[in-house]
Amino acid sequence: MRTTTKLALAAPAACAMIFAGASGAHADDGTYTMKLTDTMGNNSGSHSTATVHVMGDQLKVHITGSGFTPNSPHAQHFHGSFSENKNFTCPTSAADTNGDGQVSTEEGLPMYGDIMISLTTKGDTSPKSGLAVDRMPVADAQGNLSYDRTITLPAGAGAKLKNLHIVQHGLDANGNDKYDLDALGESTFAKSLGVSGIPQEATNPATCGTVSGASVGAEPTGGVDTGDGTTQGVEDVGILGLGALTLAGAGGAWAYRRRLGRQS
Amino acid sequence: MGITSGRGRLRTVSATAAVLALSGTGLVAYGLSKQDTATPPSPGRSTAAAESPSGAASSPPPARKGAAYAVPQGDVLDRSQPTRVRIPSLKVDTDVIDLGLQPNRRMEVPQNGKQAGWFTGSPTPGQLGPSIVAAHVTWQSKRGVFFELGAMKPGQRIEVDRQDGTTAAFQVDQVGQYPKASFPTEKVYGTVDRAELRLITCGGVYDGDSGHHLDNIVVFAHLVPSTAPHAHHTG
Repeated sequence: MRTTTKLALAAPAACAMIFAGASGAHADDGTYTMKLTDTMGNNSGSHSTATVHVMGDQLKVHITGSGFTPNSPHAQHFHGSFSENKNFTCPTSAADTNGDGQVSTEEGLPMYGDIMISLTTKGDTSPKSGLAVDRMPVADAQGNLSYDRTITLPAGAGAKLKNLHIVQHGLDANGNDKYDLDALGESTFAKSLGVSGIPQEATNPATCGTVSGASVGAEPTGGVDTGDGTTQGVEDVGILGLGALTLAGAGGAWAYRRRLGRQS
Repeated sequence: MGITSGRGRLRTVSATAAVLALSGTGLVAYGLSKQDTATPPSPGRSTAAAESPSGAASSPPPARKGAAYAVPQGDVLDRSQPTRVRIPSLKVDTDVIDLGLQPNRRMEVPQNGKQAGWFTGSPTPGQLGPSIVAAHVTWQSKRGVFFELGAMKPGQRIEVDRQDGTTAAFQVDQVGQYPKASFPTEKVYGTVDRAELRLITCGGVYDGDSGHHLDNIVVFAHLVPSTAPHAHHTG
């Protein structure tokens, strides 16, 4: 099976001429995917997907979700710890220790940990902004929520980020498309922080999730130039191994036809 | 419930079990069945929901369920850079260097035909996500280290030694050949929910005009327990 074109003889080693240089990548850089769901069984009807891109101390967060209380702000945070190696998780309905049918923020905290970053739309992102509902993303009239922000992380936090959980808060327990005190009463969590009159609906967790997938962060463009085409007569073992193959590229089809012509 | 002891009573017990399944215990079973297995339910909660004393007993309240907690599939390893890659079926055993991105955002490739390179913008082999390792199919009139990559078959094994002294073992899922002009970027580099490995080399017809092979060969593999060479284990 001699399959190589004669052209290879004259060709320079052009499939691989670039010297390796510094890539500038940090060890903990990465692009992670988080699926945020109502693990609590809080009947929020909400779910989101978060893409988290870590580049050094820069954190790019993109969240899209649906099924949220419409026209209402949804507080959202990274929960967990930047110092402890505790295994945080998302609560199940078993975390509803007072048995009122809802896992509240306080009931969930031991599972997913304290607020580390407040995912506000502008300004401060520290835990202090945890209840800054005036700077939290607002779901549209259809209950869709989207969020994009780049945040500068505290030193060393990039390495810990993939162990954290995102929790989105705010749900509509009595189905009237808004947060109201009639549904679940007053937020005990907000009250414990000195804020009165906030409905429990506004602070109860609607979704929770952690990193469940990852991709190549800085994707290379196109294919990989791994072969300089200089092994006369032997380089098509790959084709033989694969058997029938798709030559989708026009150039590929052209070259293949030429090869067949020469062989026959 | 001791419903499995006593062979002779089996039929009676089965009937009893069937009746039970239609009554009270059925509610718990239903509740459990509606729970996602990723987050083991609390039987206590399900029972409490089923026995809700809220007067309106005309229809039982639906069992409360939480949505699935999405986590990576299978084991993932901590970050540690690869030092060596072995492919027993191809008799490949070579060291691994770092590869970055060129200014034109194409991936760098090794400057010799013998080494493999790990793309530093990808997870290390064994970490969550697709780890990218590339090597040449040909180099200066000789076979490159990944010359026979296109002949790999699903189920075959790849081992990657890592700086921390561990070896990450992978099992091949798929071998693909793609024109570079329509390289499946998302399939190769995109999000996966387990630790995976991609071995990439050139393939297909060599185009003398451009000085390139027209295709890339990509081996897709996923992390398996390194103590189970044939992916079988007892128990």
